[in-house]
Amino acid sequence: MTVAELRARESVPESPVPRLGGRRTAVGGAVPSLLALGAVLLWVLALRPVDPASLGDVGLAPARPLAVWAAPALLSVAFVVALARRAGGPFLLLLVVALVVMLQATAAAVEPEIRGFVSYRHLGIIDTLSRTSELHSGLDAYFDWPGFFAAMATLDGLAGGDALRVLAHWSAPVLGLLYLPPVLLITRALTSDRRLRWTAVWLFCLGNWVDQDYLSPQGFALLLLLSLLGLLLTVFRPRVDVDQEPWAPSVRTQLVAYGTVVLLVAALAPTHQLTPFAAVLGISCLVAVRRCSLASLPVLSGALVSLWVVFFAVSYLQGHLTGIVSEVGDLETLVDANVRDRLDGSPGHVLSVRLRTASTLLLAAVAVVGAWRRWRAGRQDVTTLALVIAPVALLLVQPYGGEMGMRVWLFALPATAVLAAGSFFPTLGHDVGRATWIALAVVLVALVGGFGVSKYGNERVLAPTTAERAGLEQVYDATPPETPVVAATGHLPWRMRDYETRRTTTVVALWDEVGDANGVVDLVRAEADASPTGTTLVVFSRSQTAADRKFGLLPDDALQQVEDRIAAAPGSRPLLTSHHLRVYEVAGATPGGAP
Amino acid sequence: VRTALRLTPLVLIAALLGLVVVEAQTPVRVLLVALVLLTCPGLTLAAGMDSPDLLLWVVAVPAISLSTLTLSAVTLLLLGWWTPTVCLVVLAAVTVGAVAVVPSGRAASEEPLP
Repeated sequence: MTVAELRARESVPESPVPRLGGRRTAVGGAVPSLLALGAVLLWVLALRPVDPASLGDVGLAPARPLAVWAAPALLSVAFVVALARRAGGPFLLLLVVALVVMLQATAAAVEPEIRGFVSYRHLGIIDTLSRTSELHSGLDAYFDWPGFFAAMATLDGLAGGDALRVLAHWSAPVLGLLYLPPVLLITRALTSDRRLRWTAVWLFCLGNWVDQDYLSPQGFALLLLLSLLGLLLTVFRPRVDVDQEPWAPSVRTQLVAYGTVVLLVAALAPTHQLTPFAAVLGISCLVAVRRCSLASLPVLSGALVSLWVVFFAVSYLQGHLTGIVSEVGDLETLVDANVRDRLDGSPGHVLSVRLRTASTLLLAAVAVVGAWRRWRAGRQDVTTLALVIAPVALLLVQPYGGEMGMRVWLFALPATAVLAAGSFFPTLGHDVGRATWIALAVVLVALVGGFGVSKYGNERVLAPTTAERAGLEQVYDATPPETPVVAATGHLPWRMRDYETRRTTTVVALWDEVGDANGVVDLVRAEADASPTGTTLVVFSRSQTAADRKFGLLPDDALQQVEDRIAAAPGSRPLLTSHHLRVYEVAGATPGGAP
Repeated sequence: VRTALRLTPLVLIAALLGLVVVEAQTPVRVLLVALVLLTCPGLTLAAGMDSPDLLLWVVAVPAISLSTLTLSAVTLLLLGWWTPTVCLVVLAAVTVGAVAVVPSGRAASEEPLP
């Protein structure tokens, strides 16, 4: 089959969708706008501050008034009614914006502090770059892929004040809203059926539970990746018959778009370890199935990404290459890290993981049905399938600390959402019955329910209390910046400053080395001996205890045993004791510490 | 409109540089920083596209701007020259260069396409 035939089968112009419920109007009548207004009011009125310490193992979902979760469900019903009544694009866009705010801003609106302990680490890296203007290459992987941190350090320096912390607090809704234009561009390039397109955007928002949209390189890189795919699919998709498209890009537009695509790949390369490879795979797949006219782009993008890895991330590679290579194609490690290990922990944790899995499988199953129904209807969604399949190759390469499955889901989500939407609108230009609209509403409402647990299921661990955050800052202020820190687990709002000077480790890591509480205390004292101050800080907090119970990190009571022995160790004194945070300063055997 | 879009980033950057130099800490400065980082030099370079597609513009402008910011900041760090102000000056230089390279609306409409 020739390119022309393939392309023609994929882009059959769609006849106008029959009108349901009368003439097309701006908002599709009074019902959807009233439902949407009710949903927004419900959400706003139900927002109340929450104490993270009061949350259970299923996280934020059961702790909030039902109205907080009923609101996006009601909004989804409003969306379906508006779509059925052929509401205008601006109204549908308004509904999508409201959905993103409801889904992504809930935690920021009700929790007292920046959520996610990794956000604090990222603030610490930005602080280090700002203070030292230096790339501390080799300190850890973050400094070998510094693009996002350098950009944020610039923002921090230019804006001043607390702007960066405010951004960190609200980053999920900000990124969620920034994702919308490229996702709209991608879906528009993949289908000209507006029902399918808007449903896909809605499903993307509901499927984006992976929680990478905190102040993070991967959240930023995803924005660049989505923009890259949107531009490629819109400007560089071969057109067999330009009459099928509303416009054909001019040479000038293509030149600017090409420059932008190259710029995006170049910016992705130093920004994140994984996303650039997802970009190269996506580009290569599109070229391989002849859905991107830039035949040289896979080589160019591969070269740009490799250039960074080989020349600028070499210190990371030197330390980790053996480990990375040994995990290539290791399916057992992959399954253990991405599936089995996640099912360990408290009953509440297992429940939230199962609900998350069920929600994901629901959307995936709907996508499979969509692909099948569209194939039966004579549509070959080659481009869409290529974008779903491309990132899956990453699964075979690396378990990525047990997160690869979720990352692949995120990379494939825009195209998966288009396929899923196709299960409701498989036949282009054909009317669908009332049962289809009801089925769509049911699936969307079910996914809203799944989202609450999937995204916010770990909130008891991820959301620090003010006592924890402020207490740690107080301890950091009161101790020399070279003093090492041993935290019970990594689930703590720590490393927000002195990133390059304070050595850090966790009791969990030390326990893995020696296997008993006395051995851990000996290692802590050895750590103090090796430090320039002759002391080390040991931190126990509410969120760490919650993490230990939820994920089953240590044997029962092990953490309490370690804390008791640390408190009783010679040269140990409590620096701070509160209900949520205990910090001990432990002296080593050598007075004055290492020279 | 195209000419206005090409020149707007220069005005924004000049205003922000002024606020940074006099160390004025106002909410306007935060808003201006967000605007500059999201639109400079994207607005100027995207003006080179003669497409009427608004959505394409909305995607291209922040994509160009954020990529340029990232690459500028990383390059300056690698060279050991990074400070927020130097990075802003680089963004300003790229924007000025883009204004010079990208044809104005009148020129674009009169020049034959390659």
